[in-house]
Amino acid sequence: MRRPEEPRRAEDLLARLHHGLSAPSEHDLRAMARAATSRSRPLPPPVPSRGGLSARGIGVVGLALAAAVALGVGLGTLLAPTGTAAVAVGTGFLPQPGWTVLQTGEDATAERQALSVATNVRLHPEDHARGIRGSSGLPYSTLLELPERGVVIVGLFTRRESEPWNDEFFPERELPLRVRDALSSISYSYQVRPERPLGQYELRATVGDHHVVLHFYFGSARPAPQIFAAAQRQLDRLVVASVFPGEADAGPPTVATEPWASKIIHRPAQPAKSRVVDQTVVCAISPGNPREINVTARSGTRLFGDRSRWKTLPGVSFGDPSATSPTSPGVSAGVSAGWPPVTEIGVPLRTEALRYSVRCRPSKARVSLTTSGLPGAVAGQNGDNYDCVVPGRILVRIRSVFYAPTWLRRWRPTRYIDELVARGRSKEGALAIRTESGKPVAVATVHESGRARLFVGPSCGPSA
Amino acid sequence: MPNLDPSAERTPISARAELGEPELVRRAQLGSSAAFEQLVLARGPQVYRYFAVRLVDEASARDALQETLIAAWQGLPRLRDGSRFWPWLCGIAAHKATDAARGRSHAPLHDAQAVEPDEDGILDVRAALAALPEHFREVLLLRHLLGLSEAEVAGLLDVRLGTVKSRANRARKALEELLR
Repeated sequence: MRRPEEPRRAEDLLARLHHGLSAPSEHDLRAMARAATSRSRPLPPPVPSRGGLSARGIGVVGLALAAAVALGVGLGTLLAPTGTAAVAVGTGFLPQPGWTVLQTGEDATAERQALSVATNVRLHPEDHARGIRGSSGLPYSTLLELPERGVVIVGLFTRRESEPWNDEFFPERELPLRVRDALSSISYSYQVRPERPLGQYELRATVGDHHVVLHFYFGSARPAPQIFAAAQRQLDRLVVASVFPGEADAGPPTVATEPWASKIIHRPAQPAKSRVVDQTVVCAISPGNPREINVTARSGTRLFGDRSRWKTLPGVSFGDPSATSPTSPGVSAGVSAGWPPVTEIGVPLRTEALRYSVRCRPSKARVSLTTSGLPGAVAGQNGDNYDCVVPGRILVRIRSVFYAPTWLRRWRPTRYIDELVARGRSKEGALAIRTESGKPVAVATVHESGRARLFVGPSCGPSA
Repeated sequence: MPNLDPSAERTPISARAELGEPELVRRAQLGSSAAFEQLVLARGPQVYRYFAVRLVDEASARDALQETLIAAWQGLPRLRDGSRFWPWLCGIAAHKATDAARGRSHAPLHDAQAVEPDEDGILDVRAALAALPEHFREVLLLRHLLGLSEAEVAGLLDVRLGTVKSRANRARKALEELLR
């Protein structure tokens, strides 16, 4: 131990210790906070006479809310009051007549939530002044003065890939979400306005690539059915920006100017889900001399000391060598199996078990997964790599069997990565490549047990 | 697999807390996860450092911090006075640290990944702290690493104020003696 010439005071030593210790990054802290807030709070005490939103109550179509409407004043593009909305809203609410919408105007990122508030009353000047960020998404002053027929809906949107471990707290739902699925979130200690209780409800959902939390605040603890219906009409105008396969790259959803605030230009339909994702695509390979692809198979490796977790998942994939240049992306595809996904410090958890480049286009050709006639073996844990000479276009079939239904979705984390991926726990997968004339190039399989196998045709040789 | 290190996109914390902590607490109690996130950004590093010293290794400190944040989120509605958030959070942290430390021996200091190169004798201080009796160490950490008052420490440990003062005094002397 160090023995300084003069004794040091304990306070100084501890202060030095405090400043000498590292701390988690802001990103890690945000992730931890989100992991915490995704947990449900203890059940609140029962709500007097109305515990939840009944389907019966919702089913009653109400009267117009003209009397409760007060138009908000503009806050630049952040605020979209009735009748004036003509800006892109990304993820958030499109205002229905008589409603005012306040939102961040951007989609959620891995770093930051997107927030949106919709209300059928005038926003309190303090909430105006703070804007949505400064108010932490909660227009508190507005809530304190919320009239009996007033409604405030607060939406929080988080990118799912930034917190996939929270999926269990966000059930898969489709747009439009339903107010009747919301649960009461009232308890004495966090009632916004104990002296004149609000009706407070919460709805959680996974919508496409987003986790969504909606807080409903009603001016009365016992809202009339027509108030619920009005909230539902606004909820029908919730947009969660997502892109699904087969759609044009339409960019963020926008609000039509005519008829104003009533039409969502781009609200994708959710594709059908299935336990088996099986795609055959045709991929153009970059020119080369010779033109070739790289095929890789790697058996999984368990973590030393914890056999229930993976150090490396079993996986098979192919890539166009030009894909190594980020500015000139080639095509690639791959499947993996095994669970749970590998956690890497500082890297968002990747839960896709099947992926392929969007540049590969769907094909109706038949590609067999049979390995007969092809030499091959179980792949090593360090990866077996082969270079295969191929023509300008190849047919690729990728197939994964999942434990729960899933679907292909667009994954575009950077300018240079643009893929369709299927996420979830995969039992097994396969990748088969052949030429358009029918010559097999490679067939590879993976299984959740950790084993990957690779069989290659005569055009392939071990990578140098 | 692409490198998606999100640290490249870090945003400054400076945008934090136009609102005071009691107001953020209030909003978090009402269900604002954004407000809770701001509280975590402001207070999380300090709590983490406390865990890093008490539990020695980084992984345990992170786990304990995560458990503390979950407990805090779930327990916030029961916090009556928002201005007491910090000592309340420290109380949760202290209990989580006790739970985590129970039954485990102190790891060797060379495993302490959270420590920077020992230019300021930090390892010495940590070694000395580790050598202190548990009740001495706890008082020192709560007072000087988490910044609680003696009265708050007394309330948290459920002992009398005089006991805290006595322990703190003896702990300081013991620490200085160990590092002499």
